[in-house]
Amino acid sequence: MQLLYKCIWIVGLFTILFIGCKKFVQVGAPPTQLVTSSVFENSATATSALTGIYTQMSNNGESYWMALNNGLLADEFMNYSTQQPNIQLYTDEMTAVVSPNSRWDPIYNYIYQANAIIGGLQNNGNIDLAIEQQLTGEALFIRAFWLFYLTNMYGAIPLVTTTSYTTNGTMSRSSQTEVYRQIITDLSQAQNMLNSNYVDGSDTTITTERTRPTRWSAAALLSRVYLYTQKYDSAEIEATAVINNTNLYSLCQNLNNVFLANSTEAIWQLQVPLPNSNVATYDGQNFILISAPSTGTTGSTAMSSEFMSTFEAGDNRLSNWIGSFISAPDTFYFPNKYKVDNSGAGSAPEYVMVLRLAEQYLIRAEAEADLGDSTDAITDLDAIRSRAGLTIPYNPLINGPLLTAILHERQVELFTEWGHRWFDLVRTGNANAVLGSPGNICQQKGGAWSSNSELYPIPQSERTADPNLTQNSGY
Amino acid sequence: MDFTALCSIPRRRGFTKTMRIMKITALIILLGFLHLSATSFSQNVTLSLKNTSLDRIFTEIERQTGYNFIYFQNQLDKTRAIDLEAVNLPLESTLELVFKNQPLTYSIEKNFIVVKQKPPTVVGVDTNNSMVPPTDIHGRVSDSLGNALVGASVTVKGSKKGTQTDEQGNFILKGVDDNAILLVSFTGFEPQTIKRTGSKEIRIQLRGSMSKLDETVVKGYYNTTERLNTGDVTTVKGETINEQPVSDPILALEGRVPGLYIQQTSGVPGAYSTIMLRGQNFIHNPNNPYYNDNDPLYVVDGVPYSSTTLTNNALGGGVLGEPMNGVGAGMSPFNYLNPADIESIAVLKDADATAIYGSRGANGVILITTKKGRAGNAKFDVNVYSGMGQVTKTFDFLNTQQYLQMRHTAFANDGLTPGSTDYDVNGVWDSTRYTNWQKTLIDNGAHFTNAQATISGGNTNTQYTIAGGYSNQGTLYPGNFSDQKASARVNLTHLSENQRFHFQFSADYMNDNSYLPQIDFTTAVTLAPDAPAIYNQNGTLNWQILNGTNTWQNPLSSTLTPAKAISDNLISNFNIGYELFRGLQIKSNFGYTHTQMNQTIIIPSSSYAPPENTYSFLRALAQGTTDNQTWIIEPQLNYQHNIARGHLDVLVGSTFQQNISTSIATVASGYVADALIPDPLAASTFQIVGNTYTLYRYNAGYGRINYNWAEKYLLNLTGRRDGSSRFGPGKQFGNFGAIGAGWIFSKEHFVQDNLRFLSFGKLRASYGTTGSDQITDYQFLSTYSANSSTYQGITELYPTRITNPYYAWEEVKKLEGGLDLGFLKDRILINVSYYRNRTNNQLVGYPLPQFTGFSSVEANFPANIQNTGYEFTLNTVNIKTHHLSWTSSINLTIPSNKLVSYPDIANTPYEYTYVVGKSLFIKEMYHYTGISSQTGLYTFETKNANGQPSYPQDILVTKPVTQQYYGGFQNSVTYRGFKLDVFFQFVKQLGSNYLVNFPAPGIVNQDQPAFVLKHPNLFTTSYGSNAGTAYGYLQQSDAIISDASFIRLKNIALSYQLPAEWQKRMHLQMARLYLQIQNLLTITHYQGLDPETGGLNLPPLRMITAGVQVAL
Repeated sequence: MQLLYKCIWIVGLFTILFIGCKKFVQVGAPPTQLVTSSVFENSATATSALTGIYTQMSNNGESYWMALNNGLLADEFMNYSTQQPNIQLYTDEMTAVVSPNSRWDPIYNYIYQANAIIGGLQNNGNIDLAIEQQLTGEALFIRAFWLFYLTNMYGAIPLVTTTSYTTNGTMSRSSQTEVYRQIITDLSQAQNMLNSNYVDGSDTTITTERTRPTRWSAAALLSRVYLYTQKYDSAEIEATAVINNTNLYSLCQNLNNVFLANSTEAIWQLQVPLPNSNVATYDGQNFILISAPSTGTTGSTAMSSEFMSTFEAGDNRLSNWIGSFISAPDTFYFPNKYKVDNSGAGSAPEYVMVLRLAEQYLIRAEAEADLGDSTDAITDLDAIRSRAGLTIPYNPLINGPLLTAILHERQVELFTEWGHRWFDLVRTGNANAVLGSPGNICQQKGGAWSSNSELYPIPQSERTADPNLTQNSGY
Repeated sequence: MDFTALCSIPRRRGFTKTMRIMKITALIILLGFLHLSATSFSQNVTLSLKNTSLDRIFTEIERQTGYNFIYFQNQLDKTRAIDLEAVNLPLESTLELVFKNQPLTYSIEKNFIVVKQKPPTVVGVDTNNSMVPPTDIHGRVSDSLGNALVGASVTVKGSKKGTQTDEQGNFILKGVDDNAILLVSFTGFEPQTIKRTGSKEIRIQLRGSMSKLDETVVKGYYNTTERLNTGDVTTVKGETINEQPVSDPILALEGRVPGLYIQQTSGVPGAYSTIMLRGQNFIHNPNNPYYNDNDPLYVVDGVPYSSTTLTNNALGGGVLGEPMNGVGAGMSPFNYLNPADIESIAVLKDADATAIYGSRGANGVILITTKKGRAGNAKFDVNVYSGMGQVTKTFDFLNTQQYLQMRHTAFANDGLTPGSTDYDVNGVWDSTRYTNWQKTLIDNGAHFTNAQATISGGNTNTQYTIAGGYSNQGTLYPGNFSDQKASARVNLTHLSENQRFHFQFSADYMNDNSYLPQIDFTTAVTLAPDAPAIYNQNGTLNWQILNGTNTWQNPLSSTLTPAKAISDNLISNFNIGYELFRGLQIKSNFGYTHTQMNQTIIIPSSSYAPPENTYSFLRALAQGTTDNQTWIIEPQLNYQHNIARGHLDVLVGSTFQQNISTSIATVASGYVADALIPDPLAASTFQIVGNTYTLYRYNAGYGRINYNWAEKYLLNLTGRRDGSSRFGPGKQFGNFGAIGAGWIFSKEHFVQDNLRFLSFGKLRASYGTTGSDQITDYQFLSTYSANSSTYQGITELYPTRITNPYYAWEEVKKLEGGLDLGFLKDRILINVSYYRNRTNNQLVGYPLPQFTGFSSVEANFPANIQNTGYEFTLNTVNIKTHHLSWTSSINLTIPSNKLVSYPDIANTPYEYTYVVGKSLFIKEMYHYTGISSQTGLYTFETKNANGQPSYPQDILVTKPVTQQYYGGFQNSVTYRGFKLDVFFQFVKQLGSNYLVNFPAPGIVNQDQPAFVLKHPNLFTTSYGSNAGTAYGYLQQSDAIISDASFIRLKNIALSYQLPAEWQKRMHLQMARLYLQIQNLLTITHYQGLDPETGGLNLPPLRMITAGVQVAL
């Protein structure tokens, strides 16, 4: 009998173990991750998701990569890198094999995140309307910002406005016209949603930190988009709106203050996220030479001699914004708009400049010139020239035709910032003349110019993943 | 083949001749065709010996008569030394004298004297033996240690009477004649015939069988034998593993298991191996960092063991690679298993063997069992070996003069002159220098020391083992790098007196200290031969400074940043069982493993080139901890019963498993001095760079029904219902099952009567399904993660995953047929298997174009992948005498992989990766057509006329970059105390050659293989030049794929056990000296360093060790 009881006990205990339960294999999200839907149930996490995009843009060094890649393609740099991607860019002989310098993947990731915020906040009852408006406005702005760069680098591109990979994954490219239409829609909408003042992490409280886009940032980008699409009226209107907001914006008369954090010229800057072992901006770290240029991917450039020769005598930008490193017998010149280098030397905090007032003057000048209003155009042009110490006003005999002079002013004012020079060469059709014959800088750089190089190749891996993607000609 | 040749036994006089022939015609011997003739000997013996052991006497008799004794050494344990006087005494009479008063007897069969135990002890002899009427017999059948043999068959010869023994090994036969003859048999033991002679109670001891067919086969939840196995399992014994001086037991399996292909990725201690069992079942996603989806399931002593590296994702493993970066990089978790502790490794391959593992068995199962104590007096065993590793193969590089010639020609070809940064040719570097970088960087000799000590013993009820081990393996690199291990193991086994209750406890612990550099110095062997000296005269690193900056990257800067990884591994297991009533046993397995790694990387500013070496913020301390804990509980019920002439074995059980993995990584930086770096408090910046947590749970119910009819017809049904937390709600459970059947036709009368040479024949077949949940956790959740970077004081959230909630179990359907044959009393065993595994519903990260925001999403895939193959094993006992034995074993695998179907592949990301009807291992490339005699440049087959291939229209060749066949060939010879094992591994395959790793000759200041000198037209300094462009195409052409086949003399193990008398004189139970060599010789045409590791990776080491083992 005793044995029987023993057996019943043992079997009983084991039976409990035998009963598997479904609950056992159901696990929730790990404590280190947040389920996407819950991100948008709360304004703090939604704000984190949005400002996370700025963190990544800053940490990934987007301004540096845009300046480097497009500067190599154009005539700004002398290349010392032996790395294939750098050499290919420098010689204007890109290939469709994805290079480590390519910004395609990260840019589309930012657009994905912007789309996630736009979608996640739509019809969202959990978040205060003012915050929802601000966040959605910023997301629309980010999407437009990156679509602008994509279409200027790649031409027709997949126009992704949702997060659904099932519909997006087999997408074809949309023409540049369609992309611009989307950019203008996004920016117009953003202008209505964004705060007129800079806000802090609460999304509503006003701050002096110019690190989040405002409606003026949207206007500034819009004026550039209108300029690029030859809608000069609209470009002038948007630029004027920004320039006239003198409460917030004025040109820094000291060139060395332009790139400081929250300078009066800044329409939108990116913080260097904290904590960061490198105190400097990516641009400062990698452009400033404290030794001879390396053969690696970064720190391997100096200003080209063509570029150095374009400065007029007395231009303070040469002395303030260009640095030099002497390694006898060679002297290497480098962009020195940012002063804090990779040794952390330099004290005043610098932020990454994304949109600044000087460009708005130059946009308005160009738009006015195109509209035939040369008087106003010259006024705007001279505003920038005089700030650079060129006190003699524009003179067509010295400076050439007005449009040429404005473009030259853009070259020496906006050099090594976000690829302005390259985009100017391409949008004005001057790339052939400068890089090909008669200038033939491309040949001096060791390449053979073809106008096909005006557009980047669509990455081959993307075409493998989505057979509906076509390639730009020449690749 | 003349099989009789294999079994002809050399007589004593012919033996030295045999040895000579062995030396001279090794090949012939290896193939086993040797025929030896027999000669006649004297039948009489003359001896005069005092107090001499039987061993000695046997030897003497053998010498005089040419008869050979067959016996086990332990049979002589209880014998007495005797005095013997014989003058020309006939052999038979001499033997009578020898065996008088010994517990042994003998029989003469042909030229053998077979030594046996005295006939089974017959006790309780009934004095009333004159009774004529039949009476009952009570008896018990046991093994040589007295353990009951359950289910042994006892039959009366010439009648239909028969029974089987019960759980205590007892049997009752009713109404048996007094002088009946009983036949007693049990699988795994030699059958016995016993004459009753009237006794009523009989105790029978059976001797263990020597046949390989009766070796135990571990199938995880149950065991069987080779003979009765319906599935396909290959077992590698601990003995084989211990003959190889390796620190990772997985490496000891290379070439030894048909169907299992192991590829060592590097010769660095602790490096990962790529392991594929019966091919690739699942499509890899190149964007998915987790490559485990084709890994088999590993189980160590009943507890699943993760094959995922512990190396922190955020920090990487230095020379061992970044876990996120490619195939299984990081430190191999198998590096934490002590090879010396392993009893056996069983590789389960077909559905019959793996279905009971259900969802986890899709890629097969590898069961690792550790050693258990054996009954006997306490034995103290010490085993120490030490040796040296060398690089197996080096490149023939250009010397300085040839190198400079190449560079100058390259500049001349391009019409250029060296620039200011071309230091190797512009005079900045001393162009008269010559450094053999291979010698300097990867040929410094790697010391290897290994010591193991074991105490074991016990009685028939309780056995124990306590073991400790230490090993220290150096590297071939310059600098003080090593991998040191200390291990301990405890094992306790108990069976109650009434044999109803048992338990077993084991705990294995290892502490591994790995100090390795941040880079594989092999990648730096292409440095220019005129590169500067490594050290300055004051002993500091030389950066060959020009104008304040370095002109080269000193490879030895990496010696200043060692990656220290300290790992602890605990594997514990408790197994308990109770027999409720006859035939029904309830038991449970409890397991717990805890594996942890702590990494520290110190980056002093002295490891940087000037001027960076003065920046305080570059000084950094990286620390990481990875922790992996698994527990498992597996209650089981096992029922055994004899039905008619068959034996039924039923097992039901369930599994509860949980695994928690966590990791955290931090970086402290901004130190004012190098000396402060170890203390994170001295840093100005402290950042958490990685923090992960995963919880995995698994629950299942499983069952097995096995029926064995008269050891002739075998049927095995297994099934499992599984739930895994890796799937989303509603998709967690899946059902898997298999059927296996075997027919031992050699037991059929018509075979026994007509095919007498056939000692064993079995046909087996199995079919079933297994699943896989080898995907990363939480894939069904779309999530965001946080990062410690703040913007406006707000921490960053970024999306980590997009999801498809509908994905479900993937399934492999496995079919197998096999034929096992034994000839000449199983001295020749042949095994042939054919398998076909088909995988559908593929569950992999489906690559997305990056413009969707992510590179991949988890999804089921309509592709159907088929792996088929033939596996052959041939085991032969070529010679088996008392003193000499020679066995051979060959295995061969011919695998084949095919993408059977893929609907609408043209509209998927795999359009240019895979081709329906071809292997998954194909590479699609341009076709290289040689060097043009006119231009001296590479040429390619193109559709257009310009000769420049373009993608994709000129992708004209597809080559399968994989193994065509592979296998191994083992020979073991023992002669008296000597034992020699020689093992060859062979692989026929295509692989990527050196071209993948070298840029165009002349383009950078890198050395090149010497043979590039033949084509000076191809030297260039520019990618844009014709030669540079052509080289770019070359690297995308089939020129980079070439033969990477090899035959490797993988292992030689020679050991000598001291003669018994010496051992006795030294008061040792056993003393053995040995020499072990790994990777001695590699025969290959491969263009590169090593065909196995490929590329510029450290090849597998040639390890030569010598050791001694003693038992007290």
